[in-house]
Amino acid sequence: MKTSRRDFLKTTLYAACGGLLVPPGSAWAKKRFSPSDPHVKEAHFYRPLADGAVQCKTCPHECVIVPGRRGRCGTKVNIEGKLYTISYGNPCAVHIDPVEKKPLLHFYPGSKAFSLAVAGCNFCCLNCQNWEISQTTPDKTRNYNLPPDEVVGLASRYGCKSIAYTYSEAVTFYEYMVDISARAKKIGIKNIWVSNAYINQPALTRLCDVIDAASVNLKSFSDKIYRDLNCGHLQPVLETFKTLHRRGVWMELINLVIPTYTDDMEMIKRMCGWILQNLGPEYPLHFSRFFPQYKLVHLPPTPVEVLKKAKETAQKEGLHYVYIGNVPGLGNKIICPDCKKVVVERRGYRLISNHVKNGKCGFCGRKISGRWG
Amino acid sequence: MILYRGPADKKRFWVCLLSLGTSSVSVQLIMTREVMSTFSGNELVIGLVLGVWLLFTGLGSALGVPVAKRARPERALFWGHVLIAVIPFLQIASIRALPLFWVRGQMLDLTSAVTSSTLILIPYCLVGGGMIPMAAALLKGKETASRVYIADTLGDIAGGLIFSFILVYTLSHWNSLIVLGSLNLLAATTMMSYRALPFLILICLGIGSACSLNLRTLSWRFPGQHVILHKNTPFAQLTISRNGKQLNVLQDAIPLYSTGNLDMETIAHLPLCQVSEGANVLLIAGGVFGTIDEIAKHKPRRIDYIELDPAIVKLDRLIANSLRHSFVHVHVGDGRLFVKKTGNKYDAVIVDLPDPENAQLNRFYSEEFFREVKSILTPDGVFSFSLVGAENYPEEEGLAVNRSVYAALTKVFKHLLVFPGLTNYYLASNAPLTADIAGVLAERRIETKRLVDYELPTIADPFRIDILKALLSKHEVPPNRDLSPSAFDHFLGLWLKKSESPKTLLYAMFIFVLGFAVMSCRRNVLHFTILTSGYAGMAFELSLMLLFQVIYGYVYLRICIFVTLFMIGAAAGAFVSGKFQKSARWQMLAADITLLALSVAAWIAAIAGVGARGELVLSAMQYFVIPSLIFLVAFAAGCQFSAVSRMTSGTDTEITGRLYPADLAGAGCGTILTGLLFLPKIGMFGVLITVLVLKAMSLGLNVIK
Repeated sequence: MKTSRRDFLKTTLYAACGGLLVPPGSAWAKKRFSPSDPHVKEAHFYRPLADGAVQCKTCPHECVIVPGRRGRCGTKVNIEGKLYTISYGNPCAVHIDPVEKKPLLHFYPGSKAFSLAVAGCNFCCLNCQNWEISQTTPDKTRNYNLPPDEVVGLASRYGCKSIAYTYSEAVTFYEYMVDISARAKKIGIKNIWVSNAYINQPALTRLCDVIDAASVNLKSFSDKIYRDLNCGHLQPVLETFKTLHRRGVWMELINLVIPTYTDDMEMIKRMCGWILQNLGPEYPLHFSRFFPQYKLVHLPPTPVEVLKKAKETAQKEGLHYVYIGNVPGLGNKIICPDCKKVVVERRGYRLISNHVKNGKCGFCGRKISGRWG
Repeated sequence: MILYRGPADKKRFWVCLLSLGTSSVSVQLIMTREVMSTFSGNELVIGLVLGVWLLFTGLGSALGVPVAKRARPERALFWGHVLIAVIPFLQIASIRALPLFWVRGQMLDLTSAVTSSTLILIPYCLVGGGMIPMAAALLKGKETASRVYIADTLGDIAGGLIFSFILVYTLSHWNSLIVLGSLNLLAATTMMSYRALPFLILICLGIGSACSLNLRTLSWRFPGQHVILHKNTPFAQLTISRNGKQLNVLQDAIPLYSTGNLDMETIAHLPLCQVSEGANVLLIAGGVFGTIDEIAKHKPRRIDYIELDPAIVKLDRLIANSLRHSFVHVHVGDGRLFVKKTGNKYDAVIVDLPDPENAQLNRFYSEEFFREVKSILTPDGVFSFSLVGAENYPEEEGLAVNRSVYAALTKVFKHLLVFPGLTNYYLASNAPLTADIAGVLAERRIETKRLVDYELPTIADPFRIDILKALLSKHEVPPNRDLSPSAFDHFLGLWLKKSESPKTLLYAMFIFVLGFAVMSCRRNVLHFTILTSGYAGMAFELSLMLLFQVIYGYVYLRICIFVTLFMIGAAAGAFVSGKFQKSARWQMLAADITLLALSVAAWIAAIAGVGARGELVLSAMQYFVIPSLIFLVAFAAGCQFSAVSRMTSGTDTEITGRLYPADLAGAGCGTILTGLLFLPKIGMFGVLITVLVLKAMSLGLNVIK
């Protein structure tokens, strides 16, 4: 058959466009999952819709998912009109870290946290340090087979004070996290939620029953920056903080200071004002130094002086515990707000001294906020 | 027999093609470097941009034929030169402005990079390509296409030499464009009467007054920073900026170093803790960013520090002033070449280079290089380098890069130790290695700011070390080799994954390139012959450059000379062919046979060159074999172009307008397919096989015909 130039160009164009529009292996491509798979469990929060579609209610994205498709996080799948998570018992990263690495400075200093992650995230942060696991899905990673009981057993065997749901976004393996946390709580192992705090209130309320601490990111105090850099919104994050505070979950807030985005002192001042007004002055705030990573590679690291200025601003606003992260040698001593003495001293992640007695300053007796054991 | 239509046409013809060739090569180099800065310096993007450049110039040539038939050539060429003078300013400003349209600071994916840069580059390519048949319209006679080919190639040679040896050292890109623009405006004056002079003077003044836009457009690339210095070097664009008190050094707009950077602690102490104090150390790159000061804490006897780019060495005074130590000996040149030539023995060899993101860098992660390093190490000496890693989970493509390098390393060294982290740090030795870095540092009373307290708890965690070791040795993979650069191939895959670029775009580009190639030679064996020679020329050029770099290192001057030699060969081939008018068919067949023979010769040269150690063989390769191969390939291609132009029917303009697209489509295929697909995937020998197959087909078809 003779092919004309027009036919050839048409075929090439269609082939190219088809390939571009539906890249093979994308999260949108159909892949069959079965509810009988040990790593597939029915999701806790969703709403059935017409025609077999469902709406996920775990996080504020509230994805509407038709049968055979997934939500934005890539871990929630509609199988025949029911929503299932495919992130159950299949972590891809398991390590034992110092709790200071989460970072939590006021939570059982010097203890070990059994840390795990299942692949997936409901954000798309351009500077993600763990993009290898956050920007993929559990069916594409090399996973361990660790049901909740085994996780708790391993944490106990290795003498870990806590289990940390970290590295990726734990909201995307919510069901697994809740089940592990409930079992761990029964035997006195603490639970740490390391998160972007992008979760719906009903899901959070249930989570608060079983977790003890949260290391939560307040990525900026601007909805536009949340949209540009993280694919999320600010307001649900703020609501999460309020609920954690109300439910008495210990939290430490992390703010990554990115040059030209979140290094505006006026914005930092407003952010600290909100924290003070809604959460009080007792929760630690960590200003973290940005390094070019993942896709945000055309910006230089944050100047240390900017971080120092942010710390000063927060302290002036009235926050008691302000730290600088990602800058060795700076800012991880806990200082008593009253007597100004160092109550907890560390070298890197290593605990040097701890003068907190029964939750109070060993020198002047003032209450030092946190969980001290 | 060449005939000029009028008395002034000879001058116009040569002025037009020489100035067009000169400026198009220079502008191509400038735009490639600018695109590199905007799009993270990725080899994929660069390869595609170069390919697109050649293809659209070819398309311009084809489209120029009907225009040349209708319009007066002088008038068309006048406007062509004016556009060629002005368009590059709009292009450079657009390329620099691109980051303003995306999220600030973001690395762009392949789709955005290729689409936007193609759209920006197309106007220049079409105008430049279209001017070729218009210039041909100034001539009459069978030799027109051949003469155009020679004049254009001579212009290319001039452009390459002027940019590589003068402009890159003396002027900014913007100012270089002013020089090139002025050259084209001068050329335009020869096309029209003096009445057009005021218009040209006006444009000249406009271009001159746009000087101040250089810094303004540059600053778009460095948001929130005050640019202190922006310097062109033959290797990259270096920028020094400040944000607050922090000093930043950026190479092609990617931060290389910032005040307070502590990576050098890990780079220096991991290997130095493996050997006794008072060591002889060879440091390949990175020394001025503080690594030398960290090595100095181990009281070395001597440090040989080698850096490719002298502009980086000069940064020392601004950053750490590390070169003040009397035991530091600085060498400017290629690290690989230094390792090959040095007579010294070292206790530690530290490579602090970027990942194998191109074939040039891949040479520092290959089995052959590891053997060379081993030969200059003392029996207990240690070799170290770093590779892309992952904080908590190495994904498949990054792992594949590491696996191919690890496989190469295991073939050479008995003991390996890999510290896992955001960056994986490799140590290799024939003596046992220790992971107790903190212990050794404490024993030597060496203090660090980050390494001991923050980094070692993670990277020296035995659990993490064991996981990575198991992953690296789990699968048998081919080792990374010089001429089969699998680590480079996987790194391209990693970049595609990281930037979320659909591989389908790449495949679509390949289909487009092949489609264009098919279109340019459909139903015409002669066009197919020219196309395959264009392909062979680029495939040979890229392969032989790689071979040369593998053997002798990256020698800027020599590489420029080779590129020039290639173009001289092409022009000489076309010229000589024109001297023997009657044997066109035999010349064409002889050129095909020559290219086939040269493929085999290049194969033998590669085997002999990589394995060679003797000075005589090395000198013969450097001064005779590789230059001869480059020249002969280009000579055969040039000769064939000229011969085929005499065998093709049609008007002079039509012949030029058909053969040029075929030649450029072939060269475009050669650049894209060889650089991005064949060289990384099947290595140099695979590339030579593709040349053999294509030229055998061409020869077969021509013989049957």
